Amino acid sequence: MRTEIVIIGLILSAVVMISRVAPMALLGQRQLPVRLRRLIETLPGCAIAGFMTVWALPGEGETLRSTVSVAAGALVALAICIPTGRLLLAMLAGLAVAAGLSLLV
Amino acid sequence: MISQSIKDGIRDGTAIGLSAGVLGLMYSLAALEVGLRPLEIIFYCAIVYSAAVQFTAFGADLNSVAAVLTLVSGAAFVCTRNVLMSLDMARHATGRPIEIFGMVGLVDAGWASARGYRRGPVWPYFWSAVSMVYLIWMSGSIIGALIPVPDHPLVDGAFRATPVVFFALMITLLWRQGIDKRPHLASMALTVVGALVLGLPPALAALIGASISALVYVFITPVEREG
Repeated sequence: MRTEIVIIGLILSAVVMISRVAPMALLGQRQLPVRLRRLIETLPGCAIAGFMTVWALPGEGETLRSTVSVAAGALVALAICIPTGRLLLAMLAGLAVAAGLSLLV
Repeated sequence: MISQSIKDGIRDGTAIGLSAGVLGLMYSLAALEVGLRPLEIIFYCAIVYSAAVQFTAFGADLNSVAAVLTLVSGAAFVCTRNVLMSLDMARHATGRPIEIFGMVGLVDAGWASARGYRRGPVWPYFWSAVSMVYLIWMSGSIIGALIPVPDHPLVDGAFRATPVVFFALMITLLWRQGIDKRPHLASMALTVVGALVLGLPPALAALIGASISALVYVFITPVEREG
């Protein structure tokens, strides 16, 4: 393994692990105001939704049209998973649709 | 009760883990394409264990301290989700050190499934679920890193869609628990507006969009409906 890969991997791992462990370590068992607790419950889902959207947006040199296949794949996954809860089927169907459409669009 | 929680965690973690395994497989294939070696890919998957951060690191220029700092700050930005999920899990804390240590396995899928668990103690459920997700994620990553896949436009199309489809499923897990969809939909819309209309960096647009959506939702929701 290349040394720089190992070093970067360890640094990224530290960033990820601190982000996972530190808030719990600092805030565990603390009583919080109701609104703040509600905000903490609501924010992660919003952040996941926002970052999902980021991945679906066109990158440099891409157009909105080039991301149609990605959006369609995600919508197919949602359409399967919301009523049935079948994650794997939804993932495979979503990827298959996205892959197929990427050839056409 | 504890054994029931563990059983439920293994069952749900396996179901979620299978999609995380596909994500790991796709990550490995994409990483091979950008020039990482199989052992390096497995190393990243084992110790970083964050697909979003690992995808962010693709193509990063690591030849200067400034470039590394840019990568680290980008990773920290992506990890704001982890901070929020960890804060939310702190609601269940009873003060045992193992609860804090167990948070190293915190991923979107584990949090989203534990979020609505009501059938028994949360921690045994959470730990067994995230353990299964990790095991299957690593299996998918190793398979992807070691088994050659032919270069094909269909595979490229699937690579491109993998993170989006996976995150869509995490949102679905929340929606299936009866959690209000409106702040999530608002966050998506505001991210699009921030990134495409206002020209903000996409990750910043997501963070601002999520913050505004959650704040507005919390303050317009009547207190008696909370809990």
